Amino acid sequence: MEQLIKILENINPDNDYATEDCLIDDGLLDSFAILELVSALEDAYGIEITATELVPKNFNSAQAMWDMIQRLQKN
Amino acid sequence: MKPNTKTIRCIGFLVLLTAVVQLLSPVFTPKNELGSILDEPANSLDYLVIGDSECYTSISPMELWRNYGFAGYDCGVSAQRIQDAYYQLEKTLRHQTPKVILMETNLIFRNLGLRQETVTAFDHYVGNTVGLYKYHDNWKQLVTLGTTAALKQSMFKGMRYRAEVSPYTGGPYMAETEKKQPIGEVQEMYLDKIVGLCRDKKIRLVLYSVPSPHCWNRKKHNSVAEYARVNKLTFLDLNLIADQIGIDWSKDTYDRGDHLNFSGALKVTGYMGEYLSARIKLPDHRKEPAYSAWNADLGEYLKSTGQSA
Amino acid sequence: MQYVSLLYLLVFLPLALLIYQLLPQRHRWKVLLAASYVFFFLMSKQLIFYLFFSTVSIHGIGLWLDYCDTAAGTGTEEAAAAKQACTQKKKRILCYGVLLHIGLLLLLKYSSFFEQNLNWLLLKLPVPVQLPTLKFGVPIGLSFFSLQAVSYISDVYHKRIKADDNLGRLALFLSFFPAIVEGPICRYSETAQVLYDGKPLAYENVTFGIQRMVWGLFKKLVIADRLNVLVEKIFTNYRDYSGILILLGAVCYTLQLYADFSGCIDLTIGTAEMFGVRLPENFRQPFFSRTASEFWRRWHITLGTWFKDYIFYPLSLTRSVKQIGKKARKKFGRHLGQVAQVFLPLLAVWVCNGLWHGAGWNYLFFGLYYFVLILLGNLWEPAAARIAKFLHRNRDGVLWRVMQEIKMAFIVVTGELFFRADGLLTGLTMFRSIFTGWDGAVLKNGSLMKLGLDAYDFWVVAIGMVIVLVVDLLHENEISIRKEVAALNLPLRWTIYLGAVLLVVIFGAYGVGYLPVDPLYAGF
Repeated sequence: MEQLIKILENINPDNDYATEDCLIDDGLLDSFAILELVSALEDAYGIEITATELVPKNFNSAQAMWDMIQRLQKN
Repeated sequence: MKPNTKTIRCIGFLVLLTAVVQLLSPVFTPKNELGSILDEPANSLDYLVIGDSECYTSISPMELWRNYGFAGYDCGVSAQRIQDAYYQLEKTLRHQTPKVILMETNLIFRNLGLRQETVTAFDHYVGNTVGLYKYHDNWKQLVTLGTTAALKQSMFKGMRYRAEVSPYTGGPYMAETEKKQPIGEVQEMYLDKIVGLCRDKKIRLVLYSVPSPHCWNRKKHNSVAEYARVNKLTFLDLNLIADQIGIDWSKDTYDRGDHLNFSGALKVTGYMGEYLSARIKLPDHRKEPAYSAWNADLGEYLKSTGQSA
Repeated sequence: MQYVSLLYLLVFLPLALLIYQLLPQRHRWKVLLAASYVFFFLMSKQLIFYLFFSTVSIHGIGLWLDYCDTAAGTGTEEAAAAKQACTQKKKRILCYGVLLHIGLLLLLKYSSFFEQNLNWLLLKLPVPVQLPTLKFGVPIGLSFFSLQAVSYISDVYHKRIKADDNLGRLALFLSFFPAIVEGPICRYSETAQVLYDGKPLAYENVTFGIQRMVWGLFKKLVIADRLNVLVEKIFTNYRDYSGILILLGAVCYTLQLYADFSGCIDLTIGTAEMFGVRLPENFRQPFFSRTASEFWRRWHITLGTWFKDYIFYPLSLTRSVKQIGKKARKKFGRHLGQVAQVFLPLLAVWVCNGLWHGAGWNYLFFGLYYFVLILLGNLWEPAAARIAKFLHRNRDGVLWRVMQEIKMAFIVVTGELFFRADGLLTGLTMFRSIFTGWDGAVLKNGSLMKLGLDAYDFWVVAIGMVIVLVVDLLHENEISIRKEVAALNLPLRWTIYLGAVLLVVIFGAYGVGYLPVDPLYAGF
């Protein structure tokens, strides 16, 4: 989880990832940041994130992203 | 809040809105609904020209006064439908007794289709009930003049004076064909009504078509010519003799062949004047004291159109 | 029967509201559906077949996709292989579905453009063949409901929603009459159920809805339709004008487009609000944007998000594009690698965006214009940040923001010039003539009064735009004007409401002397 937050801060340091839960809905991460994030997560966790996973539910908060990562790692 | 109070508030507001609109409507409604034709004394006009914008950009009544002493008026309305032309003519004939009516034929083919007709009909209904809706644009006059009295345009007698030139370069447009452009049922019905009205009042009806590459073509000509033949009406299609009457498309139109400008109108008026004086005995009023206003207007007219007496 | 017509506003809509409210809740959605189909039929007559066909086909495709999933089962290794096959099958079905709708759109809207250009090409090569011109009738809202249809089947494919077995609910989602002509482009998950629920009319919904509609009418009738006279004149007779007047034409068209489109959207959203349905916003004060990217997040928002969700992301996350990104990142570093990854998806989005607006080279140019601007903006971003830091310039300061907004104004107006011009070559001619024919004297010698508008008209437009600016500023600061006014005492707020209605009726550019202006986006 800490590694995840480090990755996020690397991409866009303006947000407080510990508490923020409307990253997508409030437009705090724009589409380019998201793509960068996807790439970073795929490299870091050895998962494949497809367009199906790209929904606000999975990316609105660090916790949501973590849940998604764990789910994808299991498959 | 109980629903009742809200309903009362809504109704209250609507009542207030209606009251305000009713109060304002007369302020915006011009005194003369048909425009300044009502400035003309009753039964003083010997010919009327009816139609849409092609009508009042093609004939200059002041020229006919100047050369022949004929008293007449352009009654056309922009984009007028033939239904409205009929009702307007009916109204006008309550205080004028012309001997001849010249009808520009472009509006015969203005057929908006059932759906659009319904929308327009409802629009007209509301407009006729709520003066504010119909005449809202008169706010400009209210602001300038403090009143909605019709602006003095009597020197033009309904003609729209446009001197600009924007040439038509498209070449010949009346290519020969046997085909006819069908006249809509509703349109034909009102055309019959106009013909009937003129017959009842013993007014000679002459159909004419202004040279207009944008609006006219051989198919429309064939239709109207056929109608005229069946109803024994004269149809002067000036599109076929445009060269003869001297129309020069590089100088005589202000919107690339949709309408004629003043220079073109002079030529059409010249032709119609000759026709009227040769075929229909209209009186020459130039020496009559009752028509002295016309002579006064003539001076204004010549000045405005840059012509010498 | 357009939205901006007395028949719609005073007869159709009140009747729909009345019947809706009188019926029991479980039947109310049928009123909306019936009204929508009547409306559609009045607009496009027999072309309603396309809407119906779209609806039935996505209904079937959605169910088929879901069936594939359930048939594949879960759990064991066998099931894993079955799952693979199922995914492949689903992909195929989705493809067919998307091709069907996009194909239909292409056929009806673009075939003649395609043909014209093919014929032109055939003439250039000496091939003595010319294709006959096919002319298809285009149903109203085709460009809008086609995208909604594709979004539905995509969402089912990605399992974001379950397929809807209720044909009526789906039909209403696709055809809802306030949104059919110009959008906003809705998502099934946001709109379908609430349309179907049939909630009773509520006082605040109805009154706030009407107020929003009056605001929309104000923008459309008083500002947009008035500017239309001038814009038509300049763009039709562009050869007669140059320099400042062409620029004026472009500026006025931009204002007209904003007032017209956002005004009609206000009508749409206001109407839906009356029924208690919240539709997505399509505009968020676009002229406060500071970059081209931001502009397209504030202008025609639902189109932008549609392209983002259904073209940009799916393309960016395909294996091949991800590979490009990885390789580029290795070679050129993080930022350039990022740009390399989005290059193709972004290009696809902007080609589609441009052409979606119309079948013409100038529309393609319009799309590519923004593609280049956004790409360059992205490339430049880190450098710009560094420069700002170096110069100790506050990038959020008011002065800097205003400068950026002015820069955006030039960018947007230029784009709209090409958008409106009668073809790409005309656009280029007009653009060039701004610079070659520049003559300040034009502002003083009375030319301005020959463009179809008199001094009063210019004043009305100017004051109108100030009002729009003030309202936009309030909205930017998240102030709900309707709520504030509703909180005032009765005489004051009734005066405001009355005044607003009278402003529209008196100063609207409609009636004798004005040609009715169809909503500008209805043609797209």
